[in-house]
Amino acid sequence: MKLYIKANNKKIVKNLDLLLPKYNTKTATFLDNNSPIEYITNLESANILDNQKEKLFFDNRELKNIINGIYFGNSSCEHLMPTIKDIVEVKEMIKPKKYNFVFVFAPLSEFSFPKAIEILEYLNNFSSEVVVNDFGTLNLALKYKNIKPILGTNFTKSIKKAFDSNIQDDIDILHHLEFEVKEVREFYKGLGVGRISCENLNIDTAFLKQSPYLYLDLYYPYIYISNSKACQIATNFKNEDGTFVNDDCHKYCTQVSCDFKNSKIYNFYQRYNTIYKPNTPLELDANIYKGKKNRLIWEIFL
Amino acid sequence: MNQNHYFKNLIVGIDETTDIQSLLNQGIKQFYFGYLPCEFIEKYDSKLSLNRRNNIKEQFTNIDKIFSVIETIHKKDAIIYLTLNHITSNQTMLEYSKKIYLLFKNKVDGIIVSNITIATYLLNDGYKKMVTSNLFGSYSTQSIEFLINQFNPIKVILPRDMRLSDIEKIVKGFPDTNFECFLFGDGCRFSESFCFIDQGDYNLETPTLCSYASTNYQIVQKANPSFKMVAKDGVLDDEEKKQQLQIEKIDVDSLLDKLIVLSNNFDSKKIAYTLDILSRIDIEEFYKDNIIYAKAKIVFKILEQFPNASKLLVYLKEKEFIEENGYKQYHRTNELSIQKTIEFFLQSPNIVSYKIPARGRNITNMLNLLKPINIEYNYKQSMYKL
Repeated sequence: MKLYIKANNKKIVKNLDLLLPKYNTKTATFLDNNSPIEYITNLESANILDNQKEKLFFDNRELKNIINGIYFGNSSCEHLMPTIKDIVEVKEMIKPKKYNFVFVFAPLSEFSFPKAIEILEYLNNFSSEVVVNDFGTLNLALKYKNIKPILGTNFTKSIKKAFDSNIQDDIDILHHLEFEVKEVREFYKGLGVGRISCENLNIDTAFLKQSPYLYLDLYYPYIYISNSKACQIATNFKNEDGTFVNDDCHKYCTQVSCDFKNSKIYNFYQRYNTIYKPNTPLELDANIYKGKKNRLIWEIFL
Repeated sequence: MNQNHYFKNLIVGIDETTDIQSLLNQGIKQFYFGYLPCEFIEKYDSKLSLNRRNNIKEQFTNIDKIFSVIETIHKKDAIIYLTLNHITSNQTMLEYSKKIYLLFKNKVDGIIVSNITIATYLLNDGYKKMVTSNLFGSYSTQSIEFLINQFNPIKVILPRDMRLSDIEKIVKGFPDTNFECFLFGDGCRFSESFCFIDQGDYNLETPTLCSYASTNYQIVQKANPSFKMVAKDGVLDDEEKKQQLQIEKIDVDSLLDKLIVLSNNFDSKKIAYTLDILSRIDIEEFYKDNIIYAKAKIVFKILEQFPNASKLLVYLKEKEFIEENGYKQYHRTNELSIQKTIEFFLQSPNIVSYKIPARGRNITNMLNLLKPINIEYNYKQSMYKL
C-alpha cells in the first residue's frame, strides 16, 4: 500500500518535517500522561509505521521518502473548509516534494455549497481526487469531469463502542461493513466511485478481493466516533447564533480543544466538532496492505 | 386553531405499550414502528438493532400484535410505516431485514430506510414506497437531488439539526417531493447521520455518551504541531520543557489567576491575549461560583484600560439583570418554539408530516406540548433558528 499524510490545516503541512520521526526519542522523555494526546499519538504512530514500513509499504527508506501525497482539509466540520488560497499555498509547499494532492470535504450543509463549488471548479482544472463525506457533496463532485470522488470515513459507518458494554467484541455484525454487500459495491461503482475509506478497526476486509473491486484508504491512528453541529467547543464560548452552529462559527476550536474527565479511562477526546479515539496498535489484514493501490492515510496531528 | 389542527400532519412513533385507539381518537393519522424478530434478539439482543433504536421497549417483537395494530390503523383511514433504518447494514443485517421486509411489504404504507444496502435491495425488488430517513444526512439540496435521482422516494425525512431557512429552501426547491421534519430533538447531542456510537448497555436510566460529554468536558489549550521544538530548546530546563508539553486547561478561575500575575508584571501583550480568551468564554461560567464572580469583577476593574476587560465588566453587570436563557441547551421541548415551528411547517404544502422523536414513551406528555398559545418565539430556546 501507499503512504499518504492527512493534514487538517496549513499549520500541519508547514510543520510536516517536524511531525515525521524526528527528535522523537528526546521529546518522549518530556511526555507523560498529562501531555496532549496529539503529542503521544504522533510519537507512537511514527514509531509503529517506521517499524512496519517494509511490510506495509514494501520500502525500507525513511518514512519521509515514502510519502506519496497529502490529504488536505478537515473531514468533519464544514466551518473549517480551506479556501482556494489555502489550497494554492499548500500545493506550493508540497511542490518540491512532488506529493500528490487530495482535497478533503467535511459533510456539507446548504450554506457551504457555494464555497464547495468554487473549490471543485478550481480543482477541476487539474485531474483531482476529492474525499466526500456526504451524499450531497458526492452528488456535486460527480458533476465535474476531472474530479474523482473518494468516499470518506462517514460513508463507512462502522459502529463504535462508546463505553465498555456487554456487547461482545466477537459479534460478527460489528466487524462487517456494508461494502461487503455486492449490490452496494455495484451501486457505487455504477456512480463512478472506486475508492472507499475505513479506520483502524478490526474490520473484515474479504470484500476487497471480490468483484466489483474497490480500493481502500485506511485512516490511522485516530477513529472518528461522532461529529456534530451542536459543537461542544462552539457552544462553550459565546455563540449568539443559538443552539446549533450556523454559517458564522467563530472557529474557536482552532485555538482550544476539549478533553473529558476520565479521558484516560474512556480514551476519547473532542477536537473540532468531533469525538475521536486514538487507536495506535496496527495489525493490518494482508487484504489491505498487499493491495498496491490501497493507501494508509496517516493523520499525523489533529 | 385547536390542538387537532396541530395533529393534522403529526406522525407518531409507536411501540407495544402505545394506546393506539386513544391516538386515533385524537385525530392522529400517521404512525411508524420498528420490529425485531425474536431470533434476532436471541442472537444479538435489542442493543444491536435493525432500526436504530436500542431499547427493547421501543420495539414490536410480537408479530400478531403489530399485525392487529396495522389493521386498527387502516380501519381508521390512517397510515403506518415500517422502519428499517439502522445507520448501516452489512450482509447479515440485510438477511434479517429481508425477512422483515417480506413480512410487512404488503401491509404497511411505506418503509423508512437509511442506508444504501437496504435502499438498493428495495429498489432492485421493485418496491415503490420507500421513504428515505434523516439518517441519510440530507442537509442540502444536492443530497436531496441525489436521493431522488437514485431512489425516487415517496417521502424524504430531513435531519433534525437544520435551520428553518434551509428547510424552506429545500422544500421549495423540490415542490413535487414530500418531506417530513422533526419538531425537536430528543437529547441526541451529535448529528445522528454522522454518529457511529454504539451505546452498549444503554437504557433510558443510564447516561449516553452525549450526556456524559455534555457534563464532563473541560476546555484545554490546543496542542501545537511544532511541539518537538520544545524538546530541542536550548534555554528551557528539563522541568520547564515538561511543563510546556503538558495539557493546559482553560477555565475561568485559572485564567483570572493568570491575569493577576500578568498584571503585576505589566505584561500587556499576554494580558490582552488572556482577556481575548476570557471574552469568548460563555458568560455563564463566571456565575458558577461566587468567588470566581467576585474575582472577575475585581480583575476586570483593574484592567479596565483593556477593551476586552471593560467589555467583560459591562457583560457581568448586564447579566445580573438578565434571566437565564437556554442557548447552551442542544434540544429543548420548549412550547413556544414547537408551536411556531409547526405553524411554519403547516405553511409548506409538501411538508406532509412532522414528528415528535419519541417512539411510544411519554407520548401523551409530548402531545400536550402541541397546544396553540400566543407568545413571542424565542429562538434561543429552540432547536431551530428562524
